[in-house]
Amino acid sequence: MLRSKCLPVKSLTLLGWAALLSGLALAACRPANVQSDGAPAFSAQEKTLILSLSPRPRPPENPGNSLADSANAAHFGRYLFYDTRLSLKGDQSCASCHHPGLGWSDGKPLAVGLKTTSRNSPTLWNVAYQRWLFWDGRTDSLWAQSVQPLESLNEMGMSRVGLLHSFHKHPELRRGYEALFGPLPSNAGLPAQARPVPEDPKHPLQQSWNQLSPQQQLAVNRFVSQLGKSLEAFERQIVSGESPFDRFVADLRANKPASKELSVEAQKGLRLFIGRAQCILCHTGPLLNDREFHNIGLPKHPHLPVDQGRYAGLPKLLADPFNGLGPFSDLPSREHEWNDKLHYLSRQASNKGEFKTPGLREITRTGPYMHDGRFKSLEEVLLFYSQLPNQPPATGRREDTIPPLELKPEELTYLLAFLKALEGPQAGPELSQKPKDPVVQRSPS
Amino acid sequence: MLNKKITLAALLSLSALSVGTLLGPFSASAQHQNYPKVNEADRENRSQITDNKHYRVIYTPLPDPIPLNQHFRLKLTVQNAEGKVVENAKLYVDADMPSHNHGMNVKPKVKDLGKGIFEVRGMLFHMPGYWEIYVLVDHAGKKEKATFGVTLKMSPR
Repeated sequence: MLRSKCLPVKSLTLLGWAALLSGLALAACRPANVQSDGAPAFSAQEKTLILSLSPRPRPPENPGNSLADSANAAHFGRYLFYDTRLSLKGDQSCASCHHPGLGWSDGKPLAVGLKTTSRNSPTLWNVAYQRWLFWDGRTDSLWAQSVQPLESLNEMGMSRVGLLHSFHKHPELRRGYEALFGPLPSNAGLPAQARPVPEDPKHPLQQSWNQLSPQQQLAVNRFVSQLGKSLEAFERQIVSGESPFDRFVADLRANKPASKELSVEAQKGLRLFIGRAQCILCHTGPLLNDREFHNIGLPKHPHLPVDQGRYAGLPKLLADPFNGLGPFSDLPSREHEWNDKLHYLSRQASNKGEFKTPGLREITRTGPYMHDGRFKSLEEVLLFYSQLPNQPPATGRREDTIPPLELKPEELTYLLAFLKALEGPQAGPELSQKPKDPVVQRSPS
Repeated sequence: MLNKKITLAALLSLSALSVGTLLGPFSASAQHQNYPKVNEADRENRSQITDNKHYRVIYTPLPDPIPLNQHFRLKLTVQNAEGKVVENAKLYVDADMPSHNHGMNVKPKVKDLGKGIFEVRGMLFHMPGYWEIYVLVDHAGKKEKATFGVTLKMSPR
């Protein structure tokens, strides 16, 4: 005989009746879009938006770097990434500003190399998904980006000719390079340091660069672009693992009821994120990032000059010899569709004060925040969006889609809980440590 | 009462000022304010008559539907009022998000494929929501405008 799962009416005590009735009354008071535990009961429309945010796909290909997905290049790139011999004073590496233990950033408001720069170190988490690199998007690929900090006078301070000398001087560097790219170009007769300095034609480094023949310049440019391509191959591997939010979305997709992967607070934060707060307008897709640029109306920084952001970055992007239209890209032709982003670029007045949207996966690990690191915590960021300052934007015009959110204190907590749920596992030693040898050692078969 | 009127007038003028400031030098909607308004009922229609009724413009996106934050193309067909092909026209194409007061971050290029068919390359809608596509037909001394509404939705992965 099958036993009924329902409680026989007769067996209900007075207390039981009271509990049942109060439960019914509570359910009647509860809004239809809220579950019994207080978590949102997401509508079909909300589910569509949530499902657009996960899972994270594989990184897009970069046909401009034929070694972008080469394991050997990634290994050499990792060796270079942690190597201080790539800096002028021998005391800095890429990891100095992009430390795996500090969210692949540096924990400082502004990056500090040879000098303090005017921008925050962007995280390398999920950098392979970026359409543009740097806060102002002044390069179109990760390999083209990688060259600039090596040579920046505020950062590592080397020059491409100085780097070539280093590779001749250090046998391991040379061996790693030649295993991938063949013989190292000659450094005979080259000055100690030389590179183009487009912003200052009279700069000593530019004067030295002018002494090189066109063939020598070509060989040195190709050499440094290959270092960039190795670094890109490594940095493409810095991708987020599965987060509690991803597991929650997987449950939602499978129609599993009452997923416990996200706390009630985080789910409420998610509802705000896709709903009233409209964060999803710019933080779209599985990287929670539209990969484009916006002016959110930050007032002038008290200690920094006005930064025009994308408006100033665009001419540099188009003038970069390492962009997709240049001779060092591995694209089969300049007309390749990957270059569409360059062919149809438009510089507009509205680009003033625009900076690239940061992705939100791992965002809790990558503070301080904003292009100038003005906010120490995500709470400060949310308070900015909640209240919006009275001061005018430092430059340009704040986008119309950013009204003050006027978040209640508990709503702030919900959004923070949601952002915390976007954390995946920390990077493992296969990414966070320098390999002993620049060349992959194959075990004998 | 007078005070109330003054306050109201002051508020109105202030709001006009703030709208003017907002529209300011970067206003995307100001750039296209002379384009016809899209009829709500006809908003997503891919076939529209130009403002002076001499031309019909029809578009097909590639891929279809228009993807979010990816380059796409438009195939545009221009006909006259009798539905006949219009040859030797010049086309200008742009797009805005009117409620956001911004346009695209790209400048598309139009190629005349002949027989009244045009290909627009380099379009990119980087945000979800309501967009308007503006088409200017320059033909036989006439310059006429058409506006298409497109709502770009986020789709599940």
